[in-house]
Amino acid sequence: MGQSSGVIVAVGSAIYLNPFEVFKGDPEADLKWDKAPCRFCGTGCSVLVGVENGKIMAVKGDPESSVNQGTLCAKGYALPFIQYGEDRLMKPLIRMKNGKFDKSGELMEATWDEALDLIAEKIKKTIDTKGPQAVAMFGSGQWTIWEGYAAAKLWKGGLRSNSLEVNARHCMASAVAGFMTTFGMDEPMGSYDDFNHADAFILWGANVAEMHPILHSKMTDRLLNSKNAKLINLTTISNPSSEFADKEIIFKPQSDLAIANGIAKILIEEDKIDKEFLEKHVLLKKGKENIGYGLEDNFEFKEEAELITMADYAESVAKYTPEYVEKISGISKSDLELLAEIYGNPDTKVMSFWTMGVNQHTRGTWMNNLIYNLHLLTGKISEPGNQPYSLTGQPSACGTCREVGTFTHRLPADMVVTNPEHRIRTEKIWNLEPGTIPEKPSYHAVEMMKALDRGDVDIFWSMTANPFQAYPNLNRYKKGALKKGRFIIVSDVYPTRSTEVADVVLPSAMWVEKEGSFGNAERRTHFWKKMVDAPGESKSDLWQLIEIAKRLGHGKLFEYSSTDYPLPTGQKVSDATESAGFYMEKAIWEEYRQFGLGHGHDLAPFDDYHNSRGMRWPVVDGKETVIRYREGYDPYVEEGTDVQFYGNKKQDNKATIWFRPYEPPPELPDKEYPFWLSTGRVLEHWHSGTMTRRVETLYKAYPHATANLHPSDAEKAGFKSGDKIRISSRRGEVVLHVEVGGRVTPQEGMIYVPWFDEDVMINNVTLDAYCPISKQTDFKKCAVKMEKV
Amino acid sequence: MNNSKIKLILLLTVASIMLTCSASSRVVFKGEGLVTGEPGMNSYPEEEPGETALIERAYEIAPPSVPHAISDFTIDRTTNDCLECHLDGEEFDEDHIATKIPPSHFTNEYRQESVEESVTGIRYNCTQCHVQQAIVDFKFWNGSL
Repeated sequence: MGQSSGVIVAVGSAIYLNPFEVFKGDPEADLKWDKAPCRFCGTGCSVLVGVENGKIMAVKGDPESSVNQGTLCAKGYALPFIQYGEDRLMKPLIRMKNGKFDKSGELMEATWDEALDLIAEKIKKTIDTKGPQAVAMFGSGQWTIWEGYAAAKLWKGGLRSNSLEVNARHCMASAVAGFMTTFGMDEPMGSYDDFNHADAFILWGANVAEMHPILHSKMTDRLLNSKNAKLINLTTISNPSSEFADKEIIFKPQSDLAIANGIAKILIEEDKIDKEFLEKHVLLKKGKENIGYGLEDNFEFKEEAELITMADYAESVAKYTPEYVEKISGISKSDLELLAEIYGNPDTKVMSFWTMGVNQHTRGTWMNNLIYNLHLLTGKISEPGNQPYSLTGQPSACGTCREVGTFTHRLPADMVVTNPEHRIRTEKIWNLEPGTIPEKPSYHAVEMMKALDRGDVDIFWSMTANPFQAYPNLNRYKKGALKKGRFIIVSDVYPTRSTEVADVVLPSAMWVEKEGSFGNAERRTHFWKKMVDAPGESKSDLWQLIEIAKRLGHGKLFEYSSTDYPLPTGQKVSDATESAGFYMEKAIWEEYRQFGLGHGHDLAPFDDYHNSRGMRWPVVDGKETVIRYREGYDPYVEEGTDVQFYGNKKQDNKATIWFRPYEPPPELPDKEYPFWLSTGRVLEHWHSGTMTRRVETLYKAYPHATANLHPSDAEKAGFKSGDKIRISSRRGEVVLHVEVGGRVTPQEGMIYVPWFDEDVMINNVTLDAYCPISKQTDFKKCAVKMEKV
Repeated sequence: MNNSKIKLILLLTVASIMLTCSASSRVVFKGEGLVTGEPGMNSYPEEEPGETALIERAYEIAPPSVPHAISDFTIDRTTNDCLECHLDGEEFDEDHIATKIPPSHFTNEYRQESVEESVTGIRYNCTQCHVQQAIVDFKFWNGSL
């Protein structure tokens, strides 16, 4: 039966509840209800959580939430079960032999003191021998805001290490780079309120129906209620987002670059551009071309931008004729014209949506720029129903990773370590000596794993992530982690592919077992209170970070006044607050808030979030901002200006249109590896399936990852559904079953494999190429072959 | 993976858990997570509506799973095959009655809107909550081992 026999070993001795006991009582009378954001995707639905005798018994969609308006998706409804898998990690584990830490030993139960002392000793030793940059922390957009903040403060302000990254690098770094290069400020200008005003929704490589189901439902709602509203699904894979679409347009991988330029060409030629808007609010630039793919170790990129005129820009896009676009993309002239008509018609309000198709792209930053170009050329931006809309994958990719800045180069509120003023501002708020924060970024996510393999990084601590299932080209990186001298720490709630390589495993508290805060894809910050106790000895990541800080002599980073932040009453108190003796989450929040006040990143006082269903920043004088950059909506826009892209103060509050050409991907199908491989998710499973595959309803709804093939490819190869095949690339292979005619059908010449399944490690096959600007990995394109097993 | 193979895995799994637990009071953790060592195939019930029993809900107010085949169903702007039977709770025979859509689906409290002929727009995508259940054993994770 394959590689494993003892599949699971009971962990801990705590008596734990049967997760699949059906609650039969009266939900209203018997349960105590409180609000929380869902802990899965970046949509940020609000749920009501029903608790009885310390157990979560039910959830329901929060009818008071403007996001989900009383409903949830299948994953949301499964929230009551995610905590209660029977192999939940309950105690710290250390890899040991003969009672001592040994990298070749087995994971054995240990006390928190033993585990934390060992980690502290290893970190100190590594700092002494290799310097602080050799100590790496890898988190995610599933950290609460204060957890991400604590990690950033400890790493950059305490350890003096910029080796802090998040799996969000693999998810929306291109979105950030797109926002920063076009608008000088991160995150969408619009909000979900725009759905009700749009006449057309254009999906750019985003299967919203599965990845953001509630947002798809908001689109559906608009399409059903406004008969003239349109949905165009521009995709490389036929998927369920086409069910409500007026048109599904299939394009070849990477060719979205050509399509966007082709639309721009038509808009200019047919004079469908908004000249007044362009004159007042836009600058044009071109950047470096032939920028590479980051495949080599220590790859570096430096942008070389220059201003261009509208005539220069028009000349640059003139090459993208419908014929040329068709040659590259496979889409017809009439489809291109249809898109140009939608973007160009002044009476059609357009929302463009994208996520992983555009972001996980070796030209991801460029693609983000190119979509903004279409909205800027036509002036269709920052007004109800007219919005380019970058969606995020994780519940707090925005709130934690982007706003706190848990990347090697970033600091809170869009600041960066390379800017001396930003470092000074941060050091002042953190009460540190000037010069504490290192000015040079160290390793972005992919380079961090390469550094671990090379031995430039010795300590790698993963929290709220599963890097050894999620990274591309895993064969190399797993070998690296297992090398002598590397020390891998994994804080998680269940055994995963990452705990397999861990030297220390720390059991984490999750979701409503702690007090939390997330920020969603419409700039909405929302909080929740602790509702149930964490099982066994598991502790929140915030507690873990503060405890390790104390052991490293940085405890003072998290010392706040108990007079200013007294313990909360009438609610469950988190482990971090209990240990500190003051309201830790509130103290951290009020400090963090100082970063954003007064320059467009304003967050509200702590209590306001507990008393609402969240608020969209900037929150000024207690009022949230639904649309940014538009006079009358955004308090930062000066009277009489109509629109100000004030992230770009240095260029007179103007946004930038970038000319970005089509360039091919680094690896194309060839004779030996004739197929494209694209990876992704399915509706029922969250990322690597650690939680959702432990929930019966979700497991059964989509038990296994299969290889989805186009019927004609299957026929040519002589494969039928259920056949077992091997997919291999230049980097690795995986064995799985064929599915033809399933939920998705890739275009001819492409194979689609979701990555949630621990038995189908598709990331042994994928390529670790990335966008040179954003450093985000491209999981959507590499060359593979397939053969029957 | 066929059913007998699943049963074999379950049996071995139970055996290994029992062995490990009794062998040492200090638990040795293998960290193998959900790994079974075998890729699987997804197969769903082929029975038509009216031919299947209801699936027990995960909890009282959880959305019920779909017990019958839906691969031929259409849910789009003009057609919603699910509503055909579930709008009124179609009676196939006395043992097979389609679950009637509850009142919550006809009102949007947030927007203070109600509809009659169909469900509210935001709940129109039935399959985003009401998922099918593949023919696969899950007892492994069920705490009742």
